[in-house]
Order: sequence, then structure tokens, then C-alpha cells
Amino acid sequence: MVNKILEIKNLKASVSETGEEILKGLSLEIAEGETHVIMGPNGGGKSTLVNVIAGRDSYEVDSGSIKFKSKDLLNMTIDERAREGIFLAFQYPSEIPGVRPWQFVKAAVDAKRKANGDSELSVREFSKIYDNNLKEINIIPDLMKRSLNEGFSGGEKKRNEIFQMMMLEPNLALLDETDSGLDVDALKAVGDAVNKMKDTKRSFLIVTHYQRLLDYVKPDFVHVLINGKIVESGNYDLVKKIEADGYESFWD
Amino acid sequence: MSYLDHYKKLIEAEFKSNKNFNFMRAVTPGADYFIENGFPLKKKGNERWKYLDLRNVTSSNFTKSIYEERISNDFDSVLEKLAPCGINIVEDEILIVGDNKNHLSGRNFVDSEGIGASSPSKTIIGEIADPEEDGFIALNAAVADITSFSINENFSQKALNIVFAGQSQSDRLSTERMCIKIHANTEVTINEIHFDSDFNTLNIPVLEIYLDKDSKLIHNKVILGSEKDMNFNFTRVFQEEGSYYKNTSFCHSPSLGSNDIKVIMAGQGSECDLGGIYFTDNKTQFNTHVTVDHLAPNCKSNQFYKGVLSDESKAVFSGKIFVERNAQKTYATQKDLNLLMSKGAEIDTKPSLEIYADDVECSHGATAGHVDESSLYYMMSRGIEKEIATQMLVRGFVDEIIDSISDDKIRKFALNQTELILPNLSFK
Repeated sequence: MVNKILEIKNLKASVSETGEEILKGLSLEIAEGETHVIMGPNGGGKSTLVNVIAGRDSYEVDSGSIKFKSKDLLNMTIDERAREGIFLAFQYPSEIPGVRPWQFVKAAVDAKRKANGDSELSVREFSKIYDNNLKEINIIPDLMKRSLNEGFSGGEKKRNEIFQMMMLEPNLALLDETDSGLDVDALKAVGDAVNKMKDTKRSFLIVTHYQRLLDYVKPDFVHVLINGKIVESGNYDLVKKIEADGYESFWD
Repeated sequence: MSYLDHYKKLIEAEFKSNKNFNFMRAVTPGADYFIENGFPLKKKGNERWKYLDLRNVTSSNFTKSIYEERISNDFDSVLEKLAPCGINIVEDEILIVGDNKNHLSGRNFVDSEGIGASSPSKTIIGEIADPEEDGFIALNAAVADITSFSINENFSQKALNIVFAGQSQSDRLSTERMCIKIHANTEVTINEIHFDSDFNTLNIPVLEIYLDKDSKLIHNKVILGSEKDMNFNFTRVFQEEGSYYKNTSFCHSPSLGSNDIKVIMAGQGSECDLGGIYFTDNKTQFNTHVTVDHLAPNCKSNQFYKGVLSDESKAVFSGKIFVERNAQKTYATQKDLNLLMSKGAEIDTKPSLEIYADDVECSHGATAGHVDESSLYYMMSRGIEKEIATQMLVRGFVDEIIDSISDDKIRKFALNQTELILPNLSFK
């Protein structure tokens, strides 16, 4: 039997500030090694879902549960969740003045290793992995001498997200519209990187509007999220149906 | 006895104890002004100080430390404090002030002009720092301990380090005055370092600096305050044609104090870059007051300050750009950015422009905000703890200023100090 990595049950969540309910009883299970895709119209709750999983505190979980590797995720802080193995590739990565990418990624990798009881990597060991992964995802090293994400193009930011995913080797990667704003080359690079990282222990939850990333990364399951609920689940064929007909047929 | 009576006596005693005619001529205006006006305690019409609570200045009758007391200061401990700066007294030009061991080695670059020397050098006390501008400057002038020297092009050291060591007893008043002339075509770095003292002391150092034609001065100022001492720090600069002045300040707030800089751009084509970082914490109050007077055409000035405020501290930034009628083609900028680490911290930031010329380019801007939540979320989503992430963000914020310190030793020192300050700022 394959182990469940993520179990979401009847999740209801709202925006902390306004109290507006976004997720209205969502359930989803992801097993180890699986790739799931969530599609749906704007405002349906796709981004909210991945941000609630990551722990963003501008959302309030009103009821329901999320288990990650059988542990209660909702009791963990944002950083604890990350160290436990969750990674969110942001739709709009923050620009952080004065913080150097190298130093940032080193701090993240060290924090995770420390939590797992591993020793910190030496600068030499770390740099080797860092440089290799940069090359793999095709980021110009000079870019990473700037402040984190400052002056990066949209595509460069997204590559940088995938680069960080490669560095942190999560058990569950949440990709929030990583494919939007990418040119063909960048899209291929992201797709290749995800495929290379796929293994029996690692799962992906990909939020997207388009089929094009899915031409590279073949999902095991596809879900349609409308108005805070998953209204239909299926296999890759569902993507084709959406591309052809839109979301109209899924509304009640 | 009111505090004014106390200082009146102090001033009279100083006048009796020494001093020649030139000295009297120089210090009398300050004495007169202070006896009449005292400290700038009145709130009304008091733009410079009205946001701060200055009452503690009169909490004690501060007296000047006597020679024997000061020499008993632990000289070794001062050197120990300097070690992290990498400042080595054997190798560097160094001037220690505040323990009365005025130590100025390598005198070959110094033209000692003495007190009140009547040269056109503008190094006469009070010629650049107008004693009637402010009560603190006036008191300094009235009872100043004066060091006056000029630096010529034979100066070959990397930097001249002036260290104010802090005092070893409570209720002491320090009124160091330095009158420094940089000769034409001379390029110098001066590092001015003020160490805290854990005593209730009132420090009012005043530097008067005259930059002759085409000279260049890099002035790095470090103020490390404690929760007990007060430091009202004044720098007054007069720039001749083609000169360049750069002042970068690194301040960790004393219990109460200020970093007050005024640059008079009197010569055509001169430039100045003024910048700094101020950390305030606990219940400290700190005033950064920067004024640039553009009196001549084709001059350029920049002001760029950043503040990190935590606990229940209070900071004030007031920056002024004044452009006189004939100072055409002036280019002047001013920026003050503040990071508030707690709800109890307070910043009053107040830019002011006064422009009488018509062909100028001036800009100013000020911001105050909390640590950016989405940046914090982004960093934490990578597994970095909130405290560490916050510290990285603050480091990122202040690095821009620290990176601009051109003296390696002071830059490293500022970085080290920042590392010490950061863990205490984050979550109080």
C-alpha cells in the first residue's frame, strides 16, 4: 500500500482580515510519488489552498484538518512545515533587498538539515550543490549576486523558485502557477527540473491555468476547484476537456 | 539652585582658571548665550528638539571631570574596546579623548595652530559652529576642552582615529571641541568613535571642520550609547570650492542624544554625501538632525539615512536642504527610511526644503514601516525561523548603509556591532 503524504479533510478557510470564506469544505488526498494538478477559474481558491498548506497566517482555517506524513499540519508554524518537507513555489516571489540568494538558501538548507539532525554543510559542499543546480535550471550566476529576486524578470523569479526547490528537496512541492509568465525555454527548463526530481517519495501539487506545463509534467490526477470545493477529479483527460470547453460545464 | 545657576558657576570657574585673550574672545559668545537661554527645553517654536523629552539633561548638576579623575581612567580597557575595530594603537594614528591622555602620534602631518590662532583657516572655535545656534553648542563653547589641528598633504596614514573613551564616573560633563582644518588638495579619512559609558553622564562633543579648496574628507562616525549616558553630538563643516565631504554615521542610541550635522557649502562645485544608520531600543530617544546649506552654485549634496526602532524607543529625523538665491544648478537629495520593530516604537521624520534659487534639482522622501509580512512569509516558507528571518531582513535593510563605509576597519566594526544589536531587537 502506498503511504498518504497529504490528507485534507473538509477544509474550510477564510481571509483573516475580512472573514470572507474561500475554501468551503475541501478534501484531497495525495500519496507518495504522485503528481496532482489543480485547475479552476480565478477566485476559486487554488492559491488559497496552497498557501493554507504552507501556513500563511493571512488565512484562517475555520474547520477541517490537514495531515502531512500523518502529522497534524495545522499545529505547525510556517517554518516548521517547510523543515518537515513542504515547499511552496510562489506565484509572486518576494523581492528582498539586501539579502543575498546564496546566504538565504544556505540558511534554509542548514535549518532543514539541523531539524533532521544532520550537520551543516561546509561552504565547499554547499557551493558545489548550489552551483550544479544553478547550471541545471540555467540561472546566470551573476544574477544571484544581486539581492534576492530584485531586478529579476518574471521568468527568472520562477526559475529561482524551482532552483530553491531543487536545493531543499521537499517531500511535497506546491507549484503555484509556476508556468505563468514563462517563455518556452523557461517552461521546458521548469518541466525538466520537476521531472528529474520526481521519485517514489516525492509528491507534487501543481496549480495551473494551462495545459502547456502538463505537456512536460504528466499528472496522475487532475482536480477542478470551483468556489472553494473540488467539483471533479480525474486523469489527464480532464485537462483536455477543460482546454476544449472551459469550466462552464462544472458549475452546478 | 537652578541648573542655570550651577552652570553659571561652572563657566565662571573655567574663565578664572586660565586662558588668554583670544580664548576669551572665542568662548564668550557661547557663555553669554547659554547663561541667557540654557538648554533648549522649551517646546514652543523649538523645531529641533520638540519631539524629544530633554528633561533628563537637567536631572543632575553635571560637573566637568578634573584632570586626576580622567587620567585614572583605565586606558587599557579603551584599547580593548578598540580591538574589534582592528585599530592598533602602535600602527595607527590615534587620538584618545576623554581620559585626558591626548595622544597624537606621528605629528609630522599636523600643523598645530593652538587655541584661537588668528589665521584665515576658520579653525577658531565658534567660527563654523555658531554657539548661538543651539544651547548645547553654546555650553560646549563656554567650557570646551579644545584640540585644534590641521592636516596637510603629508598625511600618509590610512586614517586618523579619534576615540572618545567615555567617562568613569556619574554626573560628569564632557565638552570636547575639535577644530580641524583639512588643507587644500589633501585627502583624509577621520574615524570618530564614541564609546558608551555606564554612568549618567552628559557628553556634548563638537567637531568644527574646515575643508579647504579641493580637499577631501571621509568622516566615519560611530556612536555606541548605553542606557545611562547622554550624547549630543555635533558636526559642523565648512566647504570651500571643489571640496568633498562624506559623513557616514553608525549610531546605537544612548539613553538620550543626537547626531547633528550641518554642512555649509560655500565654495562652487563642492559635494557632500551624508548618510547613516540609527538603532534605537529600550526607552532611548535619538535625534538625527541634518542640514545642508547650499550657498554657492554647482554643488551637490545627498542625505541618506535609515533607522531601526524597537521597544518603546523614539527617533526623530529632521533633514533640511537650504538653497540660497545664487546657488544655481544645485543638486540635492534627501531620503530617510525607517523600520519599526515594535508597536511601541515611534519615529517622527520631517524633511524640509527651503529654496530661493530657481534652477535647482531637489528631491526628498521618507518612509516608516514594519517588517514586510510577505517577505517574512517567503523566508519562513523555506524553513527559516521567524527570528532568524527577521534578523536577515533587518541586516538587508541596514547593509546598504554599512556597505557605503569606505574604511575597512570601521565597516567591519559596524557589521560586528550590528550582529550584536540584532538578536536583541527582534522580539522585545
